[in-house]
Amino acid sequence: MNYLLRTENLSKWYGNILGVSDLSLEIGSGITGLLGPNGAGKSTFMKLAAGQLKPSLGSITIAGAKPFANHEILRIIGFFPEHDAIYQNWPARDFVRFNAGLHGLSVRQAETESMKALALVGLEDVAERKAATFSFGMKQRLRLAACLVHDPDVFLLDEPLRGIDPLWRIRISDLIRSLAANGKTVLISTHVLPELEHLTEEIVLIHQGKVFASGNVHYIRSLLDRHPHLINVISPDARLLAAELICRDPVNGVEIEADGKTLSLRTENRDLLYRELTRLVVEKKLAVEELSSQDDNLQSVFDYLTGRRL
Amino acid sequence: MNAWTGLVFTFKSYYVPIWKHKRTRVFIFFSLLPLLITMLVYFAGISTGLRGTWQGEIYFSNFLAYYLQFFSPLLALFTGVSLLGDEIDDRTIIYLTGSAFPRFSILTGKFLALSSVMILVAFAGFLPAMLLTGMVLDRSAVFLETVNAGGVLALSTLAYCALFTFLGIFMKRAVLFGLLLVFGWENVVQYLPGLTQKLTVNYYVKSLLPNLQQSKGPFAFLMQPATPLAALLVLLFIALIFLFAAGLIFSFREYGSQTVND
Repeated sequence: MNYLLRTENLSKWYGNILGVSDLSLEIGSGITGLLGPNGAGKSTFMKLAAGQLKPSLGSITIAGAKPFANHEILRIIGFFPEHDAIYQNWPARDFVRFNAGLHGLSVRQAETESMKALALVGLEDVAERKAATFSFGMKQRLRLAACLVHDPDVFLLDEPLRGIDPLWRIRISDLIRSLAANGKTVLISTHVLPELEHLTEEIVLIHQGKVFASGNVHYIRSLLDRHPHLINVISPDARLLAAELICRDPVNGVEIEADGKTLSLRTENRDLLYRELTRLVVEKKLAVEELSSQDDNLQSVFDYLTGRRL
Repeated sequence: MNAWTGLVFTFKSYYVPIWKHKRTRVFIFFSLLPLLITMLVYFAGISTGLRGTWQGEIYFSNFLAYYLQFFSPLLALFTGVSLLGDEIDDRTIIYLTGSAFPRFSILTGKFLALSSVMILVAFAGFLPAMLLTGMVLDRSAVFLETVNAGGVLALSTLAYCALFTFLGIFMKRAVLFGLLLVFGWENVVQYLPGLTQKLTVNYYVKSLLPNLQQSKGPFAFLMQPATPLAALLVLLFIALIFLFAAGLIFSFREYGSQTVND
């Protein structure tokens, strides 16, 4: 495989604060997800790859060259930063055209390509409107248009789906998939696993600046499924349910809350517990008002994997 | 990518937005202020009492001092510091630092757009006000004086813009430091004899305009002006050296570390 983005023992500190530490990665064409909770170092990594930051130690290369302040390499990078960075008083078309020009497109090319890019994100009808009048989701789409206007080979997308409505989320996901299908390298960061599951199989888990795990999405999902879960059940028959469940295998602990209706179940096999619970409810004709998992999220996986919570 | 193309592209991209910026409109108002005062003097009939008198000379030198010692440095301070300051505050700096052109050319293009707009802003009030003042005071060489003082104003604005662009990139709280520089150092040093006064932009501006030099009063002996050619060259050198230093810092500085909460 031809790896466009490589890092070797890459570290970055902001004074005493750690950004990323000892990252060694190789990322080739297609979509790679960078997954981690807030503060994990995802954006730092993105900025290092986008040539905005210098590594403190180690190296990062794109197409064999260091990206920091390297305008030759920056030509092939499309960076979508995390923050709402936009020229608020410029019309949308001017903003995209400006980005096209900054990446070396001629005036004529910039004009046509910026309209194409705006059309791709559904903003062609509001191209003359100032960005300040846009909703957050529209601004995200505008920034995406600015990122892809010069047809880069490497896309660095830092939480591109944040704040975008469900319909456009699907369309932008399709757009990202089509970029990958055309041989582009797409690195996309998020802290929401399901967002990535629809886009890619390749995921890098990053936590406290370090690569925690990397590989296929099914492996990452298995990590998520294996960690201890806390499941809440609200039922008028809470005590009956508790009595039945405590003798069954997947349940490690049962607690009845003060309201007498809420059960907290601890398990290490969530799927089996759900099956047992369903069978019990049907067999014993018990009522269940609500079923929820408190820690079915990425942070809890990281907490579990790092031993902060067992 | 070609540095010249980057410079021209950046200049063109920023020229119109700088004109439309609120800050520019405020400075246009302050540029026009002396014109309004001169019109008032002219239409109120006060002008006849000023012609050929020492009060007329004071009025004229204060008029020049307003543009060259107050307006031009302040204009350059607030706009020069904001050249990259606004981009950093709005986080749009990433588009400039992520560009396919050398950073130096990007900075130079934006600097030239900014300084040319600011020179025109200064001219908007200065040129008509100067001509009117010349008429009001019945000065014989008014046209020549306007051309001469206009050139000095342009050069002064350029030099101050470069100085404050550098300060804005080099240090935090550059506006505060700039105010201390303009209203502290640049003024106080004028009353010190010897070489110290040569460490100000104002000294070279004054050397080019005899009307600004103190020819009477207790401190008259202190001004030891440079020759016009030397003053001209030094002002150009100041503009170039500070622009170069600003470009050098911008070329190698990281701008992505404002937040670490990612």
